[in-house]
Amino acid sequence: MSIFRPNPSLSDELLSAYLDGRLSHEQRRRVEERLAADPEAARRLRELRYTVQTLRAAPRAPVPRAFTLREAAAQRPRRRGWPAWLQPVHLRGAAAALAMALVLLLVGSLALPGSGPAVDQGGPVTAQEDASAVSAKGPAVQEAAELAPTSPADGLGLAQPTLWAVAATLGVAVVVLLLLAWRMDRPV
Amino acid sequence: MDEQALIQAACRGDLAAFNQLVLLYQGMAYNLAFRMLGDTEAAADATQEAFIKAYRNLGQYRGGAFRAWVLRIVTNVCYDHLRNLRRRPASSLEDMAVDAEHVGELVDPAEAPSDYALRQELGRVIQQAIARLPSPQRTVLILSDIEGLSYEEIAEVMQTSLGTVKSRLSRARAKVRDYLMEHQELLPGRYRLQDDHEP
Repeated sequence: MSIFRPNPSLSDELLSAYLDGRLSHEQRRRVEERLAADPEAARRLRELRYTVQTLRAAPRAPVPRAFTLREAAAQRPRRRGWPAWLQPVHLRGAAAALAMALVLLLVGSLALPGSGPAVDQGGPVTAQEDASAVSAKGPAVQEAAELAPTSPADGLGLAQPTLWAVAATLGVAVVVLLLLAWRMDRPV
Repeated sequence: MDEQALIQAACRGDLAAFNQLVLLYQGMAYNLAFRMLGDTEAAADATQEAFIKAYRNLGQYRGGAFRAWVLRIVTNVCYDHLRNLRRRPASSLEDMAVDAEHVGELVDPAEAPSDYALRQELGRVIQQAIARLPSPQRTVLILSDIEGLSYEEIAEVMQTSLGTVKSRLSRARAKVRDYLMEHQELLPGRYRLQDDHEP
Protein backbone atom coordinates (compact mmCIF):
# COMPACT_ATOMS: atom_id res chain seq x y z
CA MET A 1 0.00 0.00 0.00
CA SER A 2 1.35 3.39 -0.92
CA ILE A 3 2.12 5.69 1.97
CA PHE A 4 0.55 8.52 -0.03
CA ARG A 5 -2.86 6.94 -0.56
CA PRO A 6 -4.65 7.00 2.83
CA ASN A 7 -4.21 10.71 3.52
CA PRO A 8 -5.68 13.43 1.41
CA SER A 9 -2.85 15.66 2.61
CA LEU A 10 0.71 14.83 3.58
CA SER A 11 0.95 13.22 7.01
CA ASP A 12 3.13 14.63 9.78
CA GLU A 13 5.09 11.38 9.72
CA LEU A 14 5.88 11.81 6.06
CA LEU A 15 6.82 15.47 6.52
CA SER A 16 9.01 14.59 9.51
CA ALA A 17 10.82 11.89 7.52
CA TYR A 18 11.15 14.34 4.62
CA LEU A 19 12.84 16.88 6.90
CA ASP A 20 15.29 14.22 8.09
CA GLY A 21 16.10 13.09 4.56
CA ARG A 22 14.69 9.62 5.29
CA LEU A 23 12.60 9.26 2.12
CA SER A 24 13.55 7.51 -1.09
CA HIS A 25 14.23 9.63 -4.16
CA GLU A 26 10.79 8.79 -5.55
CA GLN A 27 8.98 9.53 -2.26
CA ARG A 28 10.83 12.82 -1.95
CA ARG A 29 9.86 13.84 -5.47
CA ARG A 30 6.18 13.08 -4.79
CA VAL A 31 6.21 14.98 -1.48
CA GLU A 32 7.69 18.01 -3.21
CA GLU A 33 5.04 17.82 -5.92
CA ARG A 34 2.31 17.81 -3.28
CA LEU A 35 3.93 20.60 -1.30
CA ALA A 36 3.95 22.78 -4.39
CA ALA A 37 0.20 22.20 -4.83
CA ASP A 38 -0.91 22.17 -1.18
CA PRO A 39 -0.32 25.40 0.79
CA GLU A 40 -1.68 23.77 3.96
CA ALA A 41 0.92 21.00 3.81
CA ALA A 42 3.61 23.57 3.01
CA ARG A 43 2.59 25.54 6.11
CA ARG A 44 2.79 22.43 8.29
CA LEU A 45 6.21 21.61 6.89
CA ARG A 46 7.41 25.14 7.64
CA GLU A 47 6.16 24.88 11.23
CA LEU A 48 7.70 21.46 11.65
CA ARG A 49 11.05 22.71 10.33
CA TYR A 50 10.85 25.67 12.70
CA THR A 51 10.13 23.26 15.60
CA VAL A 52 13.18 21.14 14.83
CA GLN A 53 15.40 24.23 14.48
CA THR A 54 14.09 25.60 17.79
CA LEU A 55 14.76 22.29 19.57
CA ARG A 56 18.28 22.23 18.14
CA ALA A 57 18.85 25.71 19.59
CA ALA A 58 18.01 24.45 23.09
CA PRO A 59 20.80 25.36 25.50
CA ARG A 60 22.89 22.46 26.76
CA ALA A 61 23.14 21.96 30.48
CA PRO A 62 26.68 22.30 31.80
CA VAL A 63 27.63 19.17 33.71
CA PRO A 64 27.50 20.11 37.42
CA ARG A 65 30.33 17.74 38.42
CA ALA A 66 32.32 14.78 37.19
CA PHE A 67 30.43 11.51 37.42
CA THR A 68 33.53 9.35 37.61
CA LEU A 69 33.36 6.47 40.08
CA ARG A 70 35.55 6.13 43.12
CA GLU A 71 37.01 2.81 44.13
CA ALA A 72 34.51 2.59 47.00
CA ALA A 73 31.51 2.73 44.66
CA ALA A 74 33.10 0.28 42.30
CA GLN A 75 34.03 -2.14 45.09
CA ARG A 76 30.48 -2.65 46.31
CA PRO A 77 29.19 -6.17 45.75
CA ARG A 78 28.89 -6.76 42.05
CA ARG A 79 26.23 -8.96 40.60
CA ARG A 80 27.67 -11.67 38.41
CA GLY A 81 27.31 -11.00 34.74
CA TRP A 82 26.06 -13.51 32.22
CA PRO A 83 28.66 -15.92 30.80
CA ALA A 84 30.35 -14.31 27.80
CA TRP A 85 29.37 -17.16 25.45
CA LEU A 86 25.69 -16.91 26.30
CA GLN A 87 23.82 -14.50 24.03
CA PRO A 88 20.11 -13.65 24.03
CA VAL A 89 19.88 -15.10 20.54
CA HIS A 90 20.90 -18.52 21.93
CA LEU A 91 18.11 -18.40 24.47
CA ARG A 92 15.59 -17.31 21.85
CA GLY A 93 16.75 -20.12 19.55
CA ALA A 94 16.33 -22.68 22.33
CA ALA A 95 12.89 -21.24 23.11
CA ALA A 96 11.90 -21.53 19.44
CA ALA A 97 13.11 -25.15 19.32
CA LEU A 98 11.17 -26.05 22.46
CA ALA A 99 8.07 -24.26 21.15
CA MET A 100 8.37 -26.26 17.93
CA ALA A 101 8.69 -29.49 19.94
CA LEU A 102 5.62 -28.51 21.91
CA VAL A 103 3.61 -27.90 18.75
CA LEU A 104 4.76 -31.20 17.22
CA LEU A 105 3.88 -33.04 20.39
CA LEU A 106 0.40 -31.57 20.53
CA VAL A 107 -0.26 -31.96 16.80
CA GLY A 108 1.14 -35.49 16.88
CA SER A 109 -1.03 -36.49 19.79
CA LEU A 110 -4.16 -35.19 18.13
CA ALA A 111 -3.56 -36.05 14.49
CA LEU A 112 -1.81 -39.43 14.46
CA PRO A 113 -3.83 -42.69 14.42
CA GLY A 114 -4.65 -43.99 17.85
CA SER A 115 -5.18 -40.59 19.34
CA GLY A 116 -8.17 -39.67 21.39
CA PRO A 117 -10.66 -42.00 23.03
CA ALA A 118 -10.73 -45.53 21.65
CA VAL A 119 -13.29 -45.80 18.84
CA ASP A 120 -13.78 -48.99 16.92
CA GLN A 121 -15.94 -49.18 13.77
CA GLY A 122 -19.36 -48.25 14.86
CA GLY A 123 -18.99 -46.65 18.21
CA PRO A 124 -17.24 -46.44 21.50
CA VAL A 125 -16.14 -49.64 23.16
CA THR A 126 -16.72 -49.88 26.86
CA ALA A 127 -13.99 -51.12 29.15
CA GLN A 128 -16.01 -54.17 29.99
CA GLU A 129 -16.61 -55.11 26.34
CA ASP A 130 -12.97 -54.52 25.60
CA ALA A 131 -11.79 -56.76 28.45
CA SER A 132 -14.10 -59.58 27.48
CA ALA A 133 -13.03 -59.37 23.85
CA VAL A 134 -9.41 -59.58 24.84
CA SER A 135 -9.88 -62.56 27.11
CA ALA A 136 -11.75 -64.34 24.33
CA LYS A 137 -8.80 -63.91 21.99
CA GLY A 138 -6.30 -65.72 24.16
CA PRO A 139 -3.18 -64.90 26.18
CA ALA A 140 -1.12 -63.36 23.34
CA VAL A 141 -3.71 -60.74 22.61
CA GLN A 142 -4.25 -60.15 26.31
CA GLU A 143 -0.53 -59.51 26.77
CA ALA A 144 -0.52 -57.04 23.88
CA ALA A 145 -3.49 -55.26 25.34
CA GLU A 146 -1.74 -54.90 28.68
CA LEU A 147 1.30 -53.37 26.99
CA ALA A 148 -0.76 -50.87 25.03
CA PRO A 149 -1.38 -47.45 26.54
CA THR A 150 -4.43 -47.28 28.76
CA SER A 151 -7.20 -44.68 28.72
CA PRO A 152 -7.14 -42.01 26.11
CA ALA A 153 -3.66 -42.31 24.62
CA ASP A 154 -1.88 -40.08 22.15
CA GLY A 155 -0.36 -41.06 18.87
CA LEU A 156 3.14 -40.84 20.33
CA GLY A 157 2.44 -43.50 22.92
CA LEU A 158 2.07 -41.18 25.90
CA ALA A 159 -0.80 -41.40 28.32
CA GLN A 160 -2.79 -38.19 28.39
CA PRO A 161 -1.71 -37.05 31.88
CA THR A 162 1.93 -37.57 30.85
CA LEU A 163 1.32 -35.71 27.62
CA TRP A 164 -0.08 -32.68 29.42
CA ALA A 165 2.75 -32.75 31.95
CA VAL A 166 5.36 -32.76 29.17
CA ALA A 167 3.50 -30.03 27.28
CA ALA A 168 3.23 -27.84 30.39
CA THR A 169 6.95 -28.31 31.16
CA LEU A 170 7.87 -27.34 27.61
CA GLY A 171 5.57 -24.29 27.76
CA VAL A 172 7.09 -23.11 31.04
CA ALA A 173 10.61 -23.65 29.67
CA VAL A 174 9.79 -21.52 26.60
CA VAL A 175 8.49 -18.69 28.78
CA VAL A 176 11.50 -18.85 31.13
CA LEU A 177 13.96 -18.77 28.23
CA LEU A 178 12.22 -15.79 26.62
CA LEU A 179 12.18 -13.92 29.94
CA LEU A 180 15.88 -14.60 30.44
CA ALA A 181 16.65 -13.34 26.92
CA TRP A 182 14.63 -10.19 27.60
CA ARG A 183 16.47 -9.67 30.90
CA MET A 184 19.84 -10.00 29.17
CA ASP A 185 18.84 -7.36 26.63
CA ARG A 186 17.83 -4.92 29.36
CA PRO A 187 21.06 -4.19 31.20
CA VAL A 188 19.57 -2.63 34.31
CA MET B 1 43.92 5.20 24.45
CA ASP B 2 41.07 5.06 21.92
CA GLU B 3 37.47 4.31 22.83
CA GLN B 4 37.59 0.63 21.91
CA ALA B 5 40.71 0.06 24.01
CA LEU B 6 39.05 1.89 26.92
CA ILE B 7 35.94 -0.27 26.59
CA GLN B 8 38.01 -3.46 26.54
CA ALA B 9 40.05 -2.36 29.55
CA ALA B 10 36.89 -1.35 31.43
CA CYS B 11 35.32 -4.74 30.70
CA ARG B 12 38.38 -6.34 32.31
CA GLY B 13 37.61 -4.31 35.46
CA ASP B 14 39.93 -1.34 34.87
CA LEU B 15 38.14 1.46 36.77
CA ALA B 16 40.46 4.18 35.44
CA ALA B 17 39.56 3.19 31.87
CA PHE B 18 35.86 3.18 32.76
CA ASN B 19 36.21 6.67 34.24
CA GLN B 20 37.71 7.88 30.96
CA LEU B 21 34.54 6.64 29.27
CA VAL B 22 32.45 8.41 31.90
CA LEU B 23 34.18 11.69 31.08
CA LEU B 24 33.54 11.05 27.39
CA TYR B 25 29.78 10.46 27.76
CA GLN B 26 28.76 12.32 30.91
CA GLY B 27 27.70 15.49 29.05
CA MET B 28 25.29 13.63 26.80
CA ALA B 29 24.07 11.38 29.64
CA TYR B 30 23.44 14.32 31.95
CA ASN B 31 21.66 16.36 29.28
CA LEU B 32 19.44 13.42 28.38
CA ALA B 33 18.58 12.94 32.06
CA PHE B 34 17.97 16.65 32.54
CA ARG B 35 15.60 16.87 29.58
CA MET B 36 13.84 13.67 30.66
CA LEU B 37 13.40 14.72 34.29
CA GLY B 38 13.40 18.53 34.05
CA ASP B 39 15.40 18.94 37.24
CA THR B 40 19.14 19.37 37.70
CA GLU B 41 19.43 17.47 40.98
CA ALA B 42 17.35 14.54 39.78
CA ALA B 43 19.34 14.53 36.54
CA ALA B 44 22.66 14.43 38.43
CA ASP B 45 21.41 11.57 40.62
CA ALA B 46 20.13 9.65 37.61
CA THR B 47 23.39 10.16 35.72
CA GLN B 48 25.49 8.96 38.64
CA GLU B 49 23.22 5.96 39.19
CA ALA B 50 23.38 5.10 35.51
CA PHE B 51 27.19 5.09 35.45
CA ILE B 52 27.34 2.94 38.59
CA LYS B 53 24.90 0.50 37.00
CA ALA B 54 26.87 0.54 33.78
CA TYR B 55 30.09 -0.36 35.61
CA ARG B 56 28.44 -3.13 37.57
CA ASN B 57 26.80 -4.54 34.46
CA LEU B 58 29.77 -4.39 32.12
CA GLY B 59 29.55 -8.18 31.99
CA GLN B 60 26.28 -7.75 30.10
CA TYR B 61 27.71 -5.42 27.46
CA ARG B 62 27.59 -7.40 24.21
CA GLY B 63 29.60 -5.16 21.93
CA GLY B 64 28.07 -2.67 19.54
CA ALA B 65 27.79 1.05 20.20
CA PHE B 66 28.92 1.65 23.78
CA ARG B 67 27.36 5.12 23.73
CA ALA B 68 23.96 3.63 22.86
CA TRP B 69 24.36 1.08 25.65
CA VAL B 70 25.16 3.80 28.21
CA LEU B 71 22.27 5.99 27.01
CA ARG B 72 19.93 3.01 27.26
CA ILE B 73 20.89 2.63 30.92
CA VAL B 74 20.38 6.36 31.50
CA THR B 75 16.96 6.12 29.85
CA ASN B 76 15.95 3.17 32.02
CA VAL B 77 17.09 4.95 35.19
CA CYS B 78 15.09 8.03 34.14
CA TYR B 79 12.00 5.88 33.52
CA ASP B 80 12.39 4.50 37.05
CA HIS B 81 12.64 8.06 38.45
CA LEU B 82 9.55 9.10 36.49
CA ARG B 83 7.62 6.09 37.77
CA ASN B 84 8.59 7.05 41.33
CA LEU B 85 7.52 10.65 40.71
CA ARG B 86 4.11 9.53 39.49
CA ARG B 87 3.60 7.64 42.74
CA ARG B 88 4.27 10.84 44.72
CA PRO B 89 1.27 13.16 44.54
CA ALA B 90 3.20 16.11 46.04
CA SER B 91 5.31 16.82 42.96
CA SER B 92 4.66 16.54 39.28
CA LEU B 93 6.63 16.74 36.09
CA GLU B 94 4.90 19.96 35.17
CA ASP B 95 6.06 21.57 38.42
CA MET B 96 9.59 20.56 37.65
CA ALA B 97 9.40 21.66 34.07
CA VAL B 98 8.63 25.27 34.91
CA ASP B 99 11.30 25.63 37.57
CA ALA B 100 13.02 28.71 36.18
CA GLU B 101 15.79 28.52 38.76
CA HIS B 102 16.95 25.21 37.38
CA VAL B 103 16.54 26.16 33.75
CA GLY B 104 18.72 29.20 34.38
CA GLU B 105 21.65 26.89 35.03
CA LEU B 106 21.42 25.62 31.49
CA VAL B 107 23.09 28.57 29.91
CA ASP B 108 26.80 28.84 29.33
CA PRO B 109 28.10 31.53 31.74
CA ALA B 110 30.49 32.73 29.02
CA GLU B 111 27.55 33.93 26.91
CA ALA B 112 26.67 37.63 26.61
CA PRO B 113 24.06 38.55 29.25
CA SER B 114 21.42 39.35 26.62
CA ASP B 115 21.91 36.02 24.85
CA TYR B 116 21.96 34.32 28.23
CA ALA B 117 18.52 35.69 29.07
CA LEU B 118 17.07 34.80 25.67
CA ARG B 119 18.33 31.26 25.75
CA GLN B 120 17.13 30.91 29.31
CA GLU B 121 13.64 31.77 28.10
CA LEU B 122 13.96 29.41 25.16
CA GLY B 123 15.15 26.57 27.40
CA ARG B 124 12.22 27.08 29.73
CA VAL B 125 9.62 27.00 26.95
CA ILE B 126 11.21 23.95 25.33
CA GLN B 127 11.23 22.13 28.65
CA GLN B 128 7.55 22.93 29.15
CA ALA B 129 6.76 21.56 25.70
CA ILE B 130 8.83 18.40 26.23
CA ALA B 131 7.37 17.72 29.68
CA ARG B 132 3.95 17.20 28.11
CA LEU B 133 5.10 14.29 25.97
CA PRO B 134 4.73 10.63 26.98
CA SER B 135 8.10 9.21 28.06
CA PRO B 136 8.90 7.19 24.90
CA GLN B 137 8.12 10.16 22.63
CA ARG B 138 10.12 12.45 24.89
CA THR B 139 13.11 10.12 24.75
CA VAL B 140 13.07 9.89 20.96
CA LEU B 141 12.69 13.66 20.57
CA ILE B 142 15.57 14.44 22.95
CA LEU B 143 17.87 11.89 21.37
CA SER B 144 17.06 13.04 17.84
CA ASP B 145 16.52 16.78 17.91
CA ILE B 146 18.54 17.83 20.95
CA GLU B 147 21.33 15.24 21.10
CA GLY B 148 21.51 14.68 17.34
CA LEU B 149 21.49 10.86 17.25
CA SER B 150 20.55 9.02 14.07
CA TYR B 151 17.37 6.94 13.78
CA GLU B 152 19.51 3.79 13.87
CA GLU B 153 21.27 4.76 17.09
CA ILE B 154 17.98 5.77 18.73
CA ALA B 155 16.51 2.39 17.77
CA GLU B 156 19.51 0.75 19.47
CA VAL B 157 19.14 2.88 22.61
CA MET B 158 15.43 2.19 22.86
CA GLN B 159 15.58 -1.41 21.64
CA THR B 160 12.90 -0.79 19.09
CA SER B 161 12.42 -0.69 15.32
CA LEU B 162 13.24 2.16 12.94
CA GLY B 163 9.54 2.42 12.09
CA THR B 164 8.67 2.97 15.76
CA VAL B 165 11.38 5.60 16.09
CA LYS B 166 10.05 7.38 13.01
CA SER B 167 6.44 7.41 14.16
CA ARG B 168 7.23 8.40 17.76
CA LEU B 169 9.45 11.21 16.53
CA SER B 170 6.82 12.59 14.18
CA ARG B 171 4.15 12.50 16.88
CA ALA B 172 6.46 14.17 19.39
CA ARG B 173 7.44 16.87 16.91
CA ALA B 174 3.81 17.52 16.03
CA LYS B 175 2.92 17.99 19.71
CA VAL B 176 5.87 20.28 20.37
CA ARG B 177 5.02 22.21 17.21
CA ASP B 178 1.45 22.71 18.42
CA TYR B 179 2.73 23.88 21.79
CA LEU B 180 5.24 26.30 20.28
CA MET B 181 2.68 27.70 17.86
CA GLU B 182 0.21 28.26 20.71
CA HIS B 183 2.83 29.87 22.95
CA GLN B 184 4.75 32.08 20.54
CA GLU B 185 4.35 35.00 22.92
CA LEU B 186 6.47 33.16 25.52
CA LEU B 187 9.39 32.87 23.12
CA PRO B 188 12.01 35.56 22.64
CA GLY B 189 11.52 37.44 19.35
CA ARG B 190 14.44 35.81 17.59
CA TYR B 191 13.03 32.34 18.28
CA ARG B 192 9.52 33.05 17.01
CA LEU B 193 8.36 31.72 13.67
CA GLN B 194 9.06 34.34 11.05
CA ASP B 195 6.20 34.98 8.66
CA ASP B 196 7.80 33.93 5.42
CA HIS B 197 6.35 31.69 2.75
CA GLU B 198 9.21 29.34 2.12
CA PRO B 199 7.84 25.77 1.72
